[in-house]
Amino acid sequence: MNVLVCFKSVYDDVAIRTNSDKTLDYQAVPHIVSLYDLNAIEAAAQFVEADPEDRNLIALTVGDTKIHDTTMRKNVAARGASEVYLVMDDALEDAETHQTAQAVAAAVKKIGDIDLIICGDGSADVYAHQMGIQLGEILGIPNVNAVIDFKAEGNTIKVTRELDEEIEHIEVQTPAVLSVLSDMAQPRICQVKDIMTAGRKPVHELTLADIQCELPAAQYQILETKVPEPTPRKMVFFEATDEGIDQFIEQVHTYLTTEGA
Amino acid sequence: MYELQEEERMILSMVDSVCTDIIADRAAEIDEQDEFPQDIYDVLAEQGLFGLAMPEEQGGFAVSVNCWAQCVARLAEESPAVALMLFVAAIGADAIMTYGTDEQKNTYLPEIIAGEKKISFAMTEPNAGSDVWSLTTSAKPTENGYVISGNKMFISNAEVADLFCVFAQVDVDGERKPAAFIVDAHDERVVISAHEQKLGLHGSPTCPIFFDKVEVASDALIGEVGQGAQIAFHALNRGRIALAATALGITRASLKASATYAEGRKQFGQPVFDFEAVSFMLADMRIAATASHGLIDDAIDAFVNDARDVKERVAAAKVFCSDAAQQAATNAVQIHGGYGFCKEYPVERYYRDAKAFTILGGTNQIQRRIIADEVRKQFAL
Amino acid sequence: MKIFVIAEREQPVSELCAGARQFAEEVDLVALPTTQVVDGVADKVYRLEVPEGRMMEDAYVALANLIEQERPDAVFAESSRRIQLLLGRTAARVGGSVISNVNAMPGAKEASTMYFGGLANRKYKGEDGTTSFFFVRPATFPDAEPSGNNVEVMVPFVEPSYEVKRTEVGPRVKGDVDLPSAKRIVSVGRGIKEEKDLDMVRELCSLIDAELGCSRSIYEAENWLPKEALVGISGSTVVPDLYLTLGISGQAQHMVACDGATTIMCVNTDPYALIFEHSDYGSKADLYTVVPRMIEYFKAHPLK
Repeated sequence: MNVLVCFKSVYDDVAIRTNSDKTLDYQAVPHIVSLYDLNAIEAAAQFVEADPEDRNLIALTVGDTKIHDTTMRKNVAARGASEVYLVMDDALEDAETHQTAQAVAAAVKKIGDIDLIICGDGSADVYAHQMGIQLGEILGIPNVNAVIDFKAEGNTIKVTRELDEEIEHIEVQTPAVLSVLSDMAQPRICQVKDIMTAGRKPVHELTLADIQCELPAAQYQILETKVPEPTPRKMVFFEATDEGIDQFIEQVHTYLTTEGA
Repeated sequence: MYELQEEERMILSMVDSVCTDIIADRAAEIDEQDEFPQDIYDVLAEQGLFGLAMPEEQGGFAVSVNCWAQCVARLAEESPAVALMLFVAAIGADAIMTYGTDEQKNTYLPEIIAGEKKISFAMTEPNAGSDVWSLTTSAKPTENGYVISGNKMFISNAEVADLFCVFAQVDVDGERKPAAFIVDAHDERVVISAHEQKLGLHGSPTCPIFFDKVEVASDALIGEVGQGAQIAFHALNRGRIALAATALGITRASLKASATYAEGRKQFGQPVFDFEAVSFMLADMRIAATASHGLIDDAIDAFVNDARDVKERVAAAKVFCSDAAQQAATNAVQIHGGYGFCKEYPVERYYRDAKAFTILGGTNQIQRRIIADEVRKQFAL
Repeated sequence: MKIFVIAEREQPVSELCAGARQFAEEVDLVALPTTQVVDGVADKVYRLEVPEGRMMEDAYVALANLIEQERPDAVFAESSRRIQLLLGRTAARVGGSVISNVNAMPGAKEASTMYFGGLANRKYKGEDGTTSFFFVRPATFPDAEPSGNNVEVMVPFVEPSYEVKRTEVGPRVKGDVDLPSAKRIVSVGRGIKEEKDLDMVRELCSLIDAELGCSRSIYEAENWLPKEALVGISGSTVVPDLYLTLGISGQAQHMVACDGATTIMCVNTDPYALIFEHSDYGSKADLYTVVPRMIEYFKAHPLK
């Protein structure tokens, strides 16, 4: 059984700075595996490691050419993938959900013979919860989100979904796409042996042309990306004195008996 | 300075995760309980950290000594007692790695790397610190091997050890020749006493050992009889690099804790960081950390290339890093004021732990003598 | 201008219909079997039919057909798990992309979204002639009023090309907390030292009729409170009248989720904590001093 896990490569938001015009400064900011996709990789790796004779894990990312980071791909390989595919093309910069899903679908067809696709809950940058769903639809195969657990019995995948109000148990036939919740698995801390062998695993670098993907037109313009002005607040503060504490508590009381009643 | 390879940077980042996710929560507890933290040892073993600078033939990962030393330093930022697990394993296994036969390597190294067996370095005696020639522990040749008798002191992690690398004098035609042996720590004639109550480094038990006519086979001998001093020097050099790295970890931890505290603590309406007296101490800690890192890499360069002046360069790293750590921890307590004197803040622990490194692996006075001797050779003769 | 609204719970149904009405002559509500339809919010209510024993999201083929037929300019959706799946499948089927985490809409096809969990806002404009899909966060249209006659239209089920078998469904056991609709919330962070200290906070909550929430550090590190109590980008977004924080530092991922509160108050011993910059009223005293005295005060001066 070939299991494919999809991951997004994003800027490490801890290292992003703000320019004076409130736009974001990405200079020298490294690319990392998007936070919740690490959980997806872990869920997929645990599934594969439960039956290592029969199951094989492949990892795939698509993005612009800035995701060309060798440490990031080794990091993914160290987490249990036997090979890593990177589709890199600047046409994919800020790709919309449908464009990304089309590129991933084309890559899946190019790789071939995939039985199960695992995606994360959402990416660290736009957190859209959409890629796995749209991917499944484009491929015309069963797809569900909010997966908290799954297991395979032959070609049947038994899935538990954790919805807002319900727990739902469903069954699908392979091939299928599952978008897993981050609560399903916590990312491992890789061992030295995983790290040392990661670099020996095959890495395939492809372009959109290599996977015969013609990207659909974008349907939205990005007008701007700016750090927001904070909501104006009264900012009335009370000191840590007996008197200050009394005044603060009276303020809470006043509020709750007038405008906040 | 040595630039880490990509995989080595990934390993260091993994150690960072181990530190923040696992060790950080345990560090104060380890200090308070003063018991060997087997749970943390198991984590280090599982992660493969005992195999870092070990040969690949026996299951090691053969990363650079520099990478290994930086991992030790990172662990020490969280807990020097934990960092010393790597020190003890390395100094204990050095003789086998460097002078052992293939059979000895294949027998012992895989178990040490996997964390299944712990090996401790048993050299120091009540009346012989770093001087191999004045050891009194003896190894009497018998028909099939040797009988080892004598007392050892301050043996790190002895009470949890499975193996000892023991240094003893062999009487050859009336002449005493130092040699190194592998001894089973569980032999009933090996008597390990309760660990010392130390000022710091709690959780890294230090014990006296009595070898009560312990019989070992002839294949317990590492290298040749008479090679003991040279074997010990090599192991001590490796060990002193680890000690220097552990001290560097304390310097870095002192800096981090102090800078964070100084920024958050307000006096007279401003962060204490803004006071020059404080900020200069922080700047000095940074300078000390950078210089320590440089001297450690220089010592490693000498060590791996068997440089003629290796002893001096390793001694320089050990002296500088441990003095710097002691100074940094002292200033860290000072910056924290009254809080720094309380167990609530980790700098109190750094202060107690830092002292050890000016003594361990040969006092800084002995190290300075080694360096001074080299200076005299160069200029005075 | 025509806008479709898809939502399940009552509040988003009203909010999104009201918001859509600001821009569109025609506002139509698409209702799942679980949707709590509110009277007088839309011109049409399209009811998606779902056969017994099927997952509701399988209604997407019918929805996609409806969208291709009706060609709405935009779809405003509540970001529930089911609607994420339903709308994602639908969008893919009609060749559309979805914009998520919308927190402001200057126009029917213009959306400001949270980028990197609120680090920045990214503004999008949907191309004319396409259907734009937006997942809209709570409280995006605070002052709008919904209207309409709710003319019911049944949308028959259409089989998807693949099968998903639903074998079992049951209620999810949740914490007894409903933060998104709470009017008053007391939220705790790292400043709380032990689980038993939550008792005094709970007592305060009952005195001022507030729900208890928490920051990510408490939820993840301590597990003292259920997921429903988590306020933040990965938890609930809240819009109470009063949001009172105790020992919360005020990181961006937390603040974006409570920024819609009318009034924010804080108690934090660190006068330089970020939370003060986001607060209307703040006490620099220790919560362990303030909370017992608040309890005493509200016992002596009970709220009506």
